[in-house]
Order: sequence, then structure tokens, then C-alpha cells
Amino acid sequence: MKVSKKRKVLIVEDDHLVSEMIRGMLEELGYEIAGEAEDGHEALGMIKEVKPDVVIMDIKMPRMSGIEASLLIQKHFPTPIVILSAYETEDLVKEASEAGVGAYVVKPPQPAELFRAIEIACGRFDDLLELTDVRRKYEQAKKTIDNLSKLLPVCPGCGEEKRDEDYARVLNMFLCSIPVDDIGKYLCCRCRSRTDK
Amino acid sequence: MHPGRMNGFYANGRERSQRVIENFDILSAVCIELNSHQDSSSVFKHIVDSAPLFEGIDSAGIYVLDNSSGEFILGYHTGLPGDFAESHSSFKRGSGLHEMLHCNETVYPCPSEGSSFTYEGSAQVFIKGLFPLMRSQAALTVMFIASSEPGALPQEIPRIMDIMLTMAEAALSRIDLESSARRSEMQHSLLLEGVRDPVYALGDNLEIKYCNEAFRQLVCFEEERIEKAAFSEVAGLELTNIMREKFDEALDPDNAFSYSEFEYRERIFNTFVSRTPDGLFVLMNDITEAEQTRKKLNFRERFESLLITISTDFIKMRGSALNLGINDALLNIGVSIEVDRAYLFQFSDAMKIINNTHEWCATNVQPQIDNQQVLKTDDYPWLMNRLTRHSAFQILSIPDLPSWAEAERELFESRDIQSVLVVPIVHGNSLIGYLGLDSVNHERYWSEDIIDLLRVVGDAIGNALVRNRMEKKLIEMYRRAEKEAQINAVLLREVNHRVKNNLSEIIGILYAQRRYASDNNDHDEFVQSLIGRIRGLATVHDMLSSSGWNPLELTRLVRRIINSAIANAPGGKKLKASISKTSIRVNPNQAHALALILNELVRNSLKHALTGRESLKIKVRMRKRRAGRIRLIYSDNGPGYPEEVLEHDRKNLGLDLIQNLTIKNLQGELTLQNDGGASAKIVFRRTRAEDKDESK
Repeated sequence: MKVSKKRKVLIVEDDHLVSEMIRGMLEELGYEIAGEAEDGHEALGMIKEVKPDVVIMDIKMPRMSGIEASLLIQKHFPTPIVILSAYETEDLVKEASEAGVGAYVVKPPQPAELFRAIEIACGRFDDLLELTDVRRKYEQAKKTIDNLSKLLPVCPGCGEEKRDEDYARVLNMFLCSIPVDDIGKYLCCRCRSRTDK
Repeated sequence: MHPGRMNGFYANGRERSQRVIENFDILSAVCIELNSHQDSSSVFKHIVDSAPLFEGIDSAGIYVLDNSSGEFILGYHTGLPGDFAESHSSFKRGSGLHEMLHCNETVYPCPSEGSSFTYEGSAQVFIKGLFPLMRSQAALTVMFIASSEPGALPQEIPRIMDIMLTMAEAALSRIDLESSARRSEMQHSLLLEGVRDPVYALGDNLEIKYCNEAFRQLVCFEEERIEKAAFSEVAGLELTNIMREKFDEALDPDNAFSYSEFEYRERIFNTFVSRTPDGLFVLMNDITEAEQTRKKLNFRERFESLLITISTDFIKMRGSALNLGINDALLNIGVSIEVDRAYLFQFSDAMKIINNTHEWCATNVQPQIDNQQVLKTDDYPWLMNRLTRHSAFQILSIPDLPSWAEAERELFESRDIQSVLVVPIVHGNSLIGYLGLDSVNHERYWSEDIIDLLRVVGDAIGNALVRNRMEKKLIEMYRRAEKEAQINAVLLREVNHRVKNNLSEIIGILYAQRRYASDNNDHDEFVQSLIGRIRGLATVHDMLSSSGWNPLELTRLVRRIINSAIANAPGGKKLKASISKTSIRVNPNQAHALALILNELVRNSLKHALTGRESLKIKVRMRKRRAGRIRLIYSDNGPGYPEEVLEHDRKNLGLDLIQNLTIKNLQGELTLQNDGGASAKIVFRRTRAEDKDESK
């Protein structure tokens, strides 16, 4: 079982021998070890530097727990996270899920189990990124439509043409806000043909 | 012979007038005298005797009809010759005179053939007239007047006789009425004397007209004559003051009587004062006994109701509610029985100690509960002797206690009491306490009824107390079991976690050892070092699980790890370990890391320092440092670390593990140096949990 895409993994674990286990397994599976952090606090410092593709995180650690660190990572440096813990209580699983963790694996894991967890967490994370992007675009389009609807030159109430100063101001503001690259979309046929020439 | 009579007739009108006047004078005198007679026979006698005083009348008499025989019997008579009286002592039915007598009408003058009514004997008797008397009476009474001479009587005689007989009837009626009144009064007196309660009648001026013996006794009036005496004089000031208002009420025109209840001379009276035509009539109904009985019944009813409430409520009561319930019950008992103090004592410590646990005191009575705590039962042998008999007892007077109850006397006197009632509280065969009632102000006797009722209260309290104690024990046991179950669940989770971590670490050791073993193909050494490391893990796991994953004594941990590692050293070598003593304790994670580090250090000493030597001395020194830090120095007397190790140029798994476990797991610092052999100094921080545990 080898990964098709070599992902960089950050190990966050306070027990050195357990770190050795994770490192050994990941190397066997073909992942690249981006670094090892002793707790959540150190992980936050390292993640900005090593930009891992995925983080494998213990829960009970000194200074900052894995759950707290996961929350902060998702907020500031969105990255797929796999929790690897000897605890498996429902409360902890729920807390991890709410912190944006992609998968939860119990120690000691089977290599295949660890592999599936990493890949699923990464896959879900990519989906999440895509979804976030779609949502961002949707919000932007919605905003544009809202602005355009205000530029309708005829009042749908009385059918009269809008000639007041307010309309002129809104129109002016919209024209100023059109990015230079997009301006072609808004040109009339004559101007467009002139531009094309 | 009448003084005005001459040869039977008056000579002329003047004489007749004179005669008439004389006759009416006689009539007047006769009538006046009639009023002085007090019985009917003297009236009859008087009129019969008076008849011959009138002119023309020589004799008179009275015939009375005997209803049983139907004969007229001659009664009083005067002037009749003796043989007439004998021969005409009665008239049978059928005789002419009988018929005339029986018609109950005045017959005057008698018929001309009156001779037939005359007695012709030695002296002649001519019946002149018949006059019925007492016409309304059942016995027909007829008076006759007679003369010894024939001929008419003076003309005013019938009128005079009518008047005289009418006056006689009036006198007879008066006598009859007086007789009835006297009879009625006598009957009244007899009736009232038979009344057990004081009764008296007062006149208009509140003078006593009549009173019975009960009233005399009540007011202690010893003089024989009480009638006509003023009520205030007889009754005295107290009763007069009480009654004045009631008399006024009854005399009020708007009322006809007054009805009230009051106490007088320790008796309770229900008094009825009624207005009569000539004063007041008073009946003082003595309801003392009835009232006492009613009070007793009321008390019993209320007390039984209280008992039912107490018994029912106690079934539901738990914990502090039971304490409130007992206090409430003592209050109710105290108020109902009118005692000064009601309290509960309970035994503890196998009946060696007795405590006053609950108390109620009446107003102005000093509470004693604070002074009656932790009393040794051995100090009160008399009280304990009585209580262990399981029967209630009362002490009417504290000074009457026997001489061997000196301690009890002091105890009771300290409570300032006159009498005490003690009701033991028994559950099954066990005495669990007693219920006590104090009378502070006066000596008091409690009836068997009250004691019986209190015994029932005692039983209810006893049952509730025992049930409460058992429930407390059960709750305690349940809580303990629950706590143990929780601890076991936590321990199980911790064991599970530790086991998983240990397995992870073993896998980690294997991966690490494989990585370092790439340069070294000695399989035997690979296996031996693996066994040594896993044994180190096993040793610390054993120690931590035995202590329930609580902080461990550092000295004990170090000694165990080093001895365990030495025990697996090659044979034939002299190995000695010196470990300093310290009170430092380390938490499970630190203990785990230290155990692995020490295992590696000893393995390192045995591998490198013992080579070419027969003996090796290992020393471990531990000390607390400032700022909550701990310093542990491990050293041996071997050749020391090679230079490249000290300069970090040479890597091996053992040193790598020591380094990383110190930094990562212990968050400490490691310093390797040579000081008469290899020396490793580890400094790490103590955690708060250890400090707390150490303080325990």
C-alpha cells in the first residue's frame, strides 16, 4: 500500500516512542515526514513553516491539547487533521468532530487504517475547500445580481424611466466598481466592435 | 228567741223596720266572721249556727248528697231536737224531701203541705226553706232552716239567707283557693329541693324568696332563716358581682331571661335566670363534671388525632424532614398535655452515650438541649435500670428519688424541674432512647391514658428513627459502591489507555530499533536489546498499575528499575548500585519516561562500562532544586562516554532514546559528561499534582 501522491505529514505527539511508531508507519506507507511537534502549541508554530498536507495529532498533550490545536489550525491554517489517540470516548470523538478534524484513529493503528484515515481526511478536506470556493463565488454572484437589479432603468411600479440623481449616483458607483478585466462584458455592441478592432 | 220577736209577729211597721235592721246587722256580723274561717267545715258550722239568730228560725242544718248511696245525709245542724236529728239523719230516694233537696234550687217557702215534712214527735219541726250551697260542687249540699212553729217567716229571711249563703260560698271558694295555693307551694318546694343544682327565686328587690339546700351549701349560708334576706348578703360579693349583670339582662324588658356560663369557687355553672311576675328565678346548673369529662374526651380526641398525624407523617419523613417532624410532634405533645418541656434523648456508641437530640420548651422555660449532650450512661445507673425495663415511669417529686439516684437527682435538678415523665423508646428489643416530659412550675401526675398515648408516639418515633438510620446506611453503602464503580471505570479506562500506549511504544521501539539496526546486523543483540527495553516498559507498567496510576516515590521507582536491569546483566560480574533516598514523588507520565531513561542508562553502563571489567558501581542521586525542579544524576565508575558521544557526533538508539525521552516526555534537560565515569544529569520540573499528593 503506497500513496499515489506523496503527502507531507506533521506528527504532533508528546511521547517519543509513539512518535517513532507513527514515523515508522508513515515512512512505510510512503508519506513524507514534514516534522515532529511535542504538543499543540509547537504544532501551531511549525505548521506555518512546514505547510504540511496533513497533521497527525494526539489529544492529551502538555501546554495545548490536540482539540484546541485543531480548532486553531482550522481557523488560521486550514489543513486536514487525523486524530490518533489511545482514548476513544464519545465525548472526545464529538469534540474532535466539532473542531474540524477529518478522521479519528485509536492507538496503536494498523498501517492500512492509518492510511485510510489520512486519505479520507485529505479527500474530505479537498471537498471542503472546493465547497468553500463555490460558496464564495455564489456569494459574489449574488452580490453582483443585487447591484445590477438596482440599475434597472425603468421603475417596475409606475413604468416610468428613472431620471433622478439617486439612480445616476448608483449607476456611477457600479460603473466605477467594474474591474478592468471584466469591463468587456458590459460594453455595448458598438463599443465592443470598436474595441475588437 | 230573737229580741224583737213577740208572739211570732211584729206589731207594726216601725217594729218591722227595726227587725229588718237588726236582722241585717246580724247578717253583717255573720258575713264578717266568715272571712276569718280557714276551713270549709268551720264555715258550714258557722252559717248553720248563725241561722237561728234570725227571727223566726229555731233550727238549721245541712244535708249533703252521698253520691255512692244516693242518700242525703244530715251534716251540721243546730236547734233540732235530738230525736229529729236521729230519725231524719238521711233521706232516701223517693221521699218528698229527697226530691226537693235533689232539685238543687231554693225552695222557699216550703209547700203548705209542709207538715208532711214536719216531725211530729215530742217537739214539732217545721221546715221553712231549702237553700242549695256550692252549686258548682260535685256533692250537692243543701241548707235548711226550720222553726218549731208553723207560719211564715219574716219576709226578708229568704233574702238574708241568700246573702249569707252567697258569702259562705265566697268564703268556701277563698278557702279552697288558699288550700290549692298552699298545696302548690308545697309541691313546688318539694320539687325544687329535689334539684341537685342550686336554685333560688328572688323578689322585686332581689331579696331571696326561696332557695334550695344546694344553694345554701354553695354560698355556705348557715343561718336557718334565709328567705327575705338580701341576695348580696347571702351570696357574698363575688357571686353578687357575677350575677348582677345576668339579673340586669333578665330584667331588661327586651329579654325574658339570660343564659350564661361562669366559674365560681372552682366549679363551672351554666346559669339560667328567668324573669317571673314577682321577681327572678335562677337555676345554676353545675356542669363541672360534665365539662371535665368533655375536656377529657376532647383532649383524647385531639391527642389521638395528633398521634395518627404523627404516625402517618413519620412514614413519609426522611433526613432533615424527620428532625422537623420530631420537633413538631414534641411541640404538639407539649401544648396538648400542657407541660413545660418535651424532649427526646437518643443512645449512641452501643448505649454508652446518650444525647438530647430534640427539645421543645414552653414560653419562659429555659432550653436544656445544649447542656444535655454526650452524657455517659454509666453515670446514671438508676435511670438506666428503669429504662432497661422498657416501661414508662414518672417521678412526681424529684427529692423523693432514692439515695442511689444521686446523679439523676442532680441531672433533674439542673433542669429545674418538679416532676418528670419518662417513656422509653424501644424498637424490637433494643432501647434506642426515651421521650421525656418536664413539669417545671409544679408537681404533676400524668394519667395512664397519657402514658399509653405517649408510648404510641414513642413507638412511631422509634420506628422512624430506626428506618432513617437504616436508610442512611443503605444510601452510604450505595454511594460507596457507586464511587467504587466510578473509580473502577476510570481505572479500566486508564488501563486501556496505558496498554494501548505501551503497545504503541513497543511498535515505536521496533521501528526505531529497525532504523538503527541497519548498520548492525547482530540479530542476537537486536533481540536482547528489544527484550531489555520491553522489560523496562513492563516493570514501570507493573508499578503504576499496582499504585492505581497514582504518583510514585522516585526512590522506589529508581531502585526497582535499576535492580531489574542489573538482574538481567551477564553473570560473574560484581555490580553494585547506590541510590539516594528522597521524598520526591513523580506523576505516572514522568515515572514512565524516567523508567525508560534509567533502563537505557543502565543498559548502556552494562554494555560499555563493564566491558573488560569485573565490577561496576552505579550511583543515582536525586535532589529537589529551586523553582520546583528535580535533578537526577546517574553515574557509573566505568571509562566514561567516548568523546564523539559527548560532542553528539555519534548516534545510537540508546542515547537517542535517552535524549528524546528527556526532552519530549519529561520536558527536561539532559547533560552527559565524564566525572570518574559516565555521568548523565537530568533536570525536570515537578508538577502541581505531585506536590499535592506529597502533602497528603
